[in-house]
Amino acid sequence: MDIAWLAPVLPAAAFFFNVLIARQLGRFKHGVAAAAAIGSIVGAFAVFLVVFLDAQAHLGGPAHAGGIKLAAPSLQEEAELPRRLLFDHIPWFSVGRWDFYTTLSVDWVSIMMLGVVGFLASLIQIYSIGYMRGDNRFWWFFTVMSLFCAAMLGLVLAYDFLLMYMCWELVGLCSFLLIGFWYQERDNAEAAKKAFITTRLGDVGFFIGLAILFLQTNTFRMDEIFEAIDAGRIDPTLVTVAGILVFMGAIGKSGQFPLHVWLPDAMAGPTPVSALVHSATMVAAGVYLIGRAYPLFVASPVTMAVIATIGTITAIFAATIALTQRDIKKVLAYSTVSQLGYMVMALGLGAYTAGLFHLFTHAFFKALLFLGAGSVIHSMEPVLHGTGKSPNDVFWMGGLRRRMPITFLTFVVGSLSLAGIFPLSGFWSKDEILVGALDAGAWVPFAVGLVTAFLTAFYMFRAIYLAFFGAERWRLAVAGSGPVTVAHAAGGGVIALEGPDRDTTARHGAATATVDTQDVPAHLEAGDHGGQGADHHAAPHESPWVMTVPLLIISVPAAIAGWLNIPGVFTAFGDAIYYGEVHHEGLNLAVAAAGLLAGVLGIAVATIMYWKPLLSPVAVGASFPRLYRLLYNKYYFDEMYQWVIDHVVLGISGLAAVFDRKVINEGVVDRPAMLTSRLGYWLRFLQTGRTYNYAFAFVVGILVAGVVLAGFRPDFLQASLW
Amino acid sequence: MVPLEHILVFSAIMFAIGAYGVMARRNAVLVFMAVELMLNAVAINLVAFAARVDPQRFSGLVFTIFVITVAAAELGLGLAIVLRVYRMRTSVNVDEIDALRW
Amino acid sequence: MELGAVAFYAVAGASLVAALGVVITRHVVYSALLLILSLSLTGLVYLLLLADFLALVQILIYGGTVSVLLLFALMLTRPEDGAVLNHRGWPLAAVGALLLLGALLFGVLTTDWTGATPGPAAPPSRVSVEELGEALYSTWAVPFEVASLVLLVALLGALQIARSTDAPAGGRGEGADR
Repeated sequence: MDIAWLAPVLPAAAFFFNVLIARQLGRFKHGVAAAAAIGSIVGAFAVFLVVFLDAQAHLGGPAHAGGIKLAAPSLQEEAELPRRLLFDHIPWFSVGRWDFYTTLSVDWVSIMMLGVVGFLASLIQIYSIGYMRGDNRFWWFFTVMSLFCAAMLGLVLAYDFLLMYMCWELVGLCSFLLIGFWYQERDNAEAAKKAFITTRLGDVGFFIGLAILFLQTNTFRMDEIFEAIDAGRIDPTLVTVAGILVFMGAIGKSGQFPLHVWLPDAMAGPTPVSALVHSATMVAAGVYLIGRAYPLFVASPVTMAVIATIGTITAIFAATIALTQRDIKKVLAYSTVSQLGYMVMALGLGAYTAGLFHLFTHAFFKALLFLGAGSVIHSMEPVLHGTGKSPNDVFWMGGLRRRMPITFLTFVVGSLSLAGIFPLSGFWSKDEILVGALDAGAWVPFAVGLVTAFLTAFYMFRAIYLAFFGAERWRLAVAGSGPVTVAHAAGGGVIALEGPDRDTTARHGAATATVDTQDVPAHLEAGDHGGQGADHHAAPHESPWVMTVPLLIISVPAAIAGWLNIPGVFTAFGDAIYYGEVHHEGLNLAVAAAGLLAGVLGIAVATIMYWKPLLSPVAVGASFPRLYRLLYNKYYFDEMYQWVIDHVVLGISGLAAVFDRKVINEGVVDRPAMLTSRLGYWLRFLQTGRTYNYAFAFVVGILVAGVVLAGFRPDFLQASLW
Repeated sequence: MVPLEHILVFSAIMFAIGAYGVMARRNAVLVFMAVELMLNAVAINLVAFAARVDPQRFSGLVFTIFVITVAAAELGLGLAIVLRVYRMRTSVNVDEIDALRW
Repeated sequence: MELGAVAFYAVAGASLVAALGVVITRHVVYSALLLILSLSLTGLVYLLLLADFLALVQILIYGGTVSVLLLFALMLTRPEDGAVLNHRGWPLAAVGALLLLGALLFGVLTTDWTGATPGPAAPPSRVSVEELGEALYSTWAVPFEVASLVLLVALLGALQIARSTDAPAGGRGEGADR
């Protein structure tokens, strides 16, 4: 247990090593930096293992016989074990009369997160060796990754809000650096900026909330703050306000409505970054914060209601957007937003275990999906290079399942899990949330949860069918055949627009937008034998083992992580991580069936639309043109924010600029400067250059001083000088 | 025995005369003479305090020695500067030496 | 009135008259000679204040060295006869000096000196040159050394400044040196 602090310290050390030493090593720096980063994060994972095994004996935890434990204390002993071990009074810094100490907590929640972060970050970094190969800032990628992991691990262990806030901001900073990793392209830099500023909006709330709590309790320690809340030493209204403000931090970090806009744009970063950001680190921080500061939120029903409402809105809202996205990473991004909404909703409804359990399972399968998507993009990139087509666009993929079988398989596993198909992990955590919603008597969130489950299954399998099945549409792009830009294969029939995308239809007309797929082989032939565009002829192929092996490894927990909490069978997770009393949802067969049905239905609809052309997506899209466009444009949220920025923010800025120019520049800066210069011009004539004048002034000065010292002091001098 | 005040009055008058000389004289050498008078007034003060206030310890006397030393050094340097100025401008009238002005 | 007091007033008065002469005479050489007189008379005042050594130093340095220096300076700068020695604004200077004198006298006369003087219990005693020398070389050794350094620097500085402008630092300009 005592070595838990090493988990964040190891990657931090790797960061400093890389920054200070590795970068000096010339061409070796890439290898050295990657080795240090991966070594340190694997070390952190090893720390987790040690802590985890040790914790069996030292923490009150899994109380049931099914618990995974090696050194099992008896039930009697276990009841007396503490919920958490605190590492207290670690001196940190002093400001004025305040001495700040920091506190680390080792409990099942933090251990769980240590494991998730350590495991996923290790694999993702190994995967990055393949993905980032050849990048000329390879070493910097691993350096920032190390800092990222260190910050997240520190955040996980922190048990005082100050340390947590520091790590929180460090996580934000690192995600900024990583999202903008390829900042040479303006869009990426903009995305990084957007992520940073948007999350900052939430962080301001978080910060104010912390300030309120600190002013009320004079401490940042969580246990003391929660105690003060329990004891009613803080005004309940303030608790509500502080709770909502702190939750604002989680809204920003976890991409909840209405601050979700940065998350999809964060796809601008390298895909391993997306995988990490979307599974174990950045966005998990928000949900983790809610779990960590749960007593603060539970203390106020209003706060809980706000949390549940935001979560519910986010879940369905993001899922609907994901239905129409073309960029495979954007689909996954909105899926993440939606799933995070799920977790937040569960936590808001009091289903503590369910919310954190979903965070746990989701981390695995979402990381798997992102790495899978990365693998696809990695192989599409050289194929589409030079065609001006985005390698992320599922409309330009197709038929990849034969080309990259491992990626395909693992991607399907992740998707099935995300869709909540029995017996994969998503099923169990989603079921738990639904049962929790039902228990809370919250029918709307329950219904939303079911609909979201349906939508989730649909958009995931839409992506799978588009990317891995059907015709190999990337050949069209390579062969440069025709102006088909928004086309995709529906079954083997025609390439058609999915929805009423006005831009494309307007530009190319219906005729050109419909191309017979019979053409494809012809183009292919022409391409193969005609030798045109020789650069583009590489076909997508399976990624190197350094990428596929992590995929395979992650697919295991992605599939079975849910088995850690099977109601009535094996409930280690729920026994360890709970709030208040251990609370086991019984296996509600009706709910489970409903959830499963929603998932299967989603897959079925996707199948008949995108695989067997029983229902044309074109027709569906065309029947709801407005809705389609609304979803495709993400409810115009970016446009709304842009409007606000253009009209409100820039308007205020304009006023401020005028104020600055007129009042500050001219009134406060230029005017006194002019005055001084004018005064100096006249005063300089006092400098006669004649010593006897100076001597006379000297004597007069002495006289005045003497008079004053002799006691003759006018009133105004008395006030100011004596 | 002469009271302390009388000696101080003597020194004060000497100082005022010196100050007048510094302000009124044109010739730099004469200005230096007036400065010597002022320094001398200060020295008188020190000696008076040494003799009247603290006869047993003679810090005042030692200090006077230093004042005289510094005065000598100052005079030597000052007159060197005067000579230099004279060589450059063929005049040592302080109202004609006014290069350091606006 | 005892003899010492009479002597003091006489000598001090004479010294002041000489000092006044220094600043108002129209002849530069008189001015210098009167300065020597005034400073030497001040030396006598020191003697009356039982500071023998200082009296000696005063007469030696001012009467001997300084006067020679000043006369040399006057000689080298050759002020023409009948040149106007005062500024036009000299009455203003006089007023300033008088005001300064008033302020000084005000300070001297309004201050209560009784606490500062030891009174008849500790009669003024003659300070022997041996004692002063001992103190100068023990208690005041460091300032003494510093003073010697100051003199050295002043000497070198005066040399450098007074050298001929025409001669470069190496001193090759023969004939340019006066």
